[in-house]
Amino acid sequence: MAVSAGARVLIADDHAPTRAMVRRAIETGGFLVCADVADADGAIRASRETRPDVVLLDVRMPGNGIRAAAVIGTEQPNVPIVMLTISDEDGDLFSALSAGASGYLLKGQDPATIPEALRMVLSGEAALSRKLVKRLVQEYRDREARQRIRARLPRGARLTPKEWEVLELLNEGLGTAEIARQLFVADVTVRSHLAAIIRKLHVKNRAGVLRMVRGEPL
Amino acid sequence: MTASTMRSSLAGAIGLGVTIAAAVAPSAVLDHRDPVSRAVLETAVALVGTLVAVLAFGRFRRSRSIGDLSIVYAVALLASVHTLFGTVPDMISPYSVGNGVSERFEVWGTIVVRTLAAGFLVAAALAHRPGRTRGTTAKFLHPAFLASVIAGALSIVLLGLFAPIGRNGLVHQISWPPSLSAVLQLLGATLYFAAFIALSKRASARSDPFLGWIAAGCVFGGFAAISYALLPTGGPDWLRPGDLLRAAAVGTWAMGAVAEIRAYWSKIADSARREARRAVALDLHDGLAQELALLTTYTYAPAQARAEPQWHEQLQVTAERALAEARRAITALAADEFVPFETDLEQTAESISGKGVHVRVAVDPGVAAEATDPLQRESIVRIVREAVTNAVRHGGASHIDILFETNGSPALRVFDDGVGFVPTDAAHSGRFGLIGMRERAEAIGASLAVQSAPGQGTTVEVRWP
Repeated sequence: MAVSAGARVLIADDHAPTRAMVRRAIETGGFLVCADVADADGAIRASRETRPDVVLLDVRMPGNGIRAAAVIGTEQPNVPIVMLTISDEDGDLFSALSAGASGYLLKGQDPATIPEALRMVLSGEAALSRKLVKRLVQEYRDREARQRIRARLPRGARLTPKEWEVLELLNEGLGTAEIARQLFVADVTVRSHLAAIIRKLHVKNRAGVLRMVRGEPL
Repeated sequence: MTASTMRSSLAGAIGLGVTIAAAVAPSAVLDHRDPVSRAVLETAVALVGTLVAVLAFGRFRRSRSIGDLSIVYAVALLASVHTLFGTVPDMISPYSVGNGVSERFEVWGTIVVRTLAAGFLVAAALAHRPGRTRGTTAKFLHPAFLASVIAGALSIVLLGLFAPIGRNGLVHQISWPPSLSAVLQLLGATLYFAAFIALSKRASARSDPFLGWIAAGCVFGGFAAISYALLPTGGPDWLRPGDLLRAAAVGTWAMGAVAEIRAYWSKIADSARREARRAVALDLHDGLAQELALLTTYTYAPAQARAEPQWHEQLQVTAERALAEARRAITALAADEFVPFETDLEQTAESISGKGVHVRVAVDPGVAAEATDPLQRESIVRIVREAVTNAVRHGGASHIDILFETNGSPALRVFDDGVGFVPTDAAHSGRFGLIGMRERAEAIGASLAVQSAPGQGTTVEVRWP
């Protein structure tokens, strides 16, 4: 494809053997590597100096790859950014996308998919590892559900992210012990989150919380 | 029946029993002149009560909740009241028991302060009401406390100077109109029971064991007040039912403090566990997962690439690194105590070098700082592992010395007696190990130098500025 012929790529990954493998893969795929660095600050510096056409960043490297994505994305908004990472955690995926990444690839897949993904983002498409697409759809649905619950809460009630998690599990019909197990915390921690939720929603008890989020009369 | 209902019922049964006993047969059962027991009891109440107040204050500092602060005030008042108005004046002037003024202050002081404490407990229950915001009430509570203490002190002075007292309670004579002290006691009892009901509700709504215990203690407080109405305190030398029930109230609150401490520690243990898990997760990510992902990637190589010996070597080296990382993670997870840095280096080196290679490790005690930070330590161990791997694999070394010393600035050196190589060649021939070591060193603020020549062995040096 003409758009990518000889396009220049910046690679950042703190695992040297992986970086060498990636370099080989994208050079085989017809790209030029203009810089290869081992940390976030190196990536930011190299992007200023070498003006790459596309950037390939590890997420968890010294200095934080997502931070690098945010900085490079702000400084050079036309340069597409692809994350290449071990992490398939939702938090990393969503913060990378919000930081401006248009691709998110998981390590341990066929290296031939990397130049393919670079071509896609260069032509303005998004590139996601297939198993992540489902996560995105799920997250979109969860946000919808959360939005629905939020509309039923008293105005001005601000729950912390942890309290939201407790509230959602509670809404799924789980008890204190089950919620604690799901969130990997002690029972008392769940209880104190619950107490905060009860206080913030101005209800009397756990049953009141449930009636409120389910839109039943209080 | 929940544990807290059971607790409160038990407190109620005991309180009621003692109170009825006091009403029916006061002198026979619980009305003794027993200065020693009384002194012991009051000392215990003062000490335990102070402890509870301090712990409740700790809870307030974490929650910044106005209800918790009210509890602190209530407990502090109740812990100090009898010492303040009974024991201390009595110690100062042992002959004052017969002295009308001192006695009047004791009687009115204890009554007023105990009632005040009950008032703060009711305030605590109200402040813990759901939907209560903190900021506005917080501004008023310190002045409110001060104002009530001043009002209390003023009324004690006025009552002490002008109001008559009798040692007789309702048991001895039911009079109409009832004496002012009996009315105050019964008002106090009403407040304690109100506090009990409200605090129990809050406790169950918030699943808060501490409030549950405070509520149960209020039951004892309420019956103590009724008992005092029936049979007033007889001065510092007397042990009466009200005194015992008051002590029971403070004891019950102490149980609440214990429950609170337990909850607090389990929270701390929880976050420590989370922290440890996070560290292991990070370690697995930086080590094992990276190598396995790379290994998986190699398997996608086309057939002609897989026929080359280079591919096999890459596969083998990566698999070995993955195995070493896995061993390391297992050791870290299984270790139930802190492994000294030196031992860590020794084990790492020996697990790679195998038999027939002599490994010597020496760590200066002065480099403890570099070795205690977990991130630094991980990086150093990985550098050493890479150096030892190279020495054995490429150098065929039979002796490896690992020295970590401080001569002004800390430096780690790995010497081997292997065949050596030309460093500039190695960098070009795709020895990622060297690149990896250098980057690891730079990530922890150090620099890496490799000295080697064919036939000369190899020295890898990590140096901090």
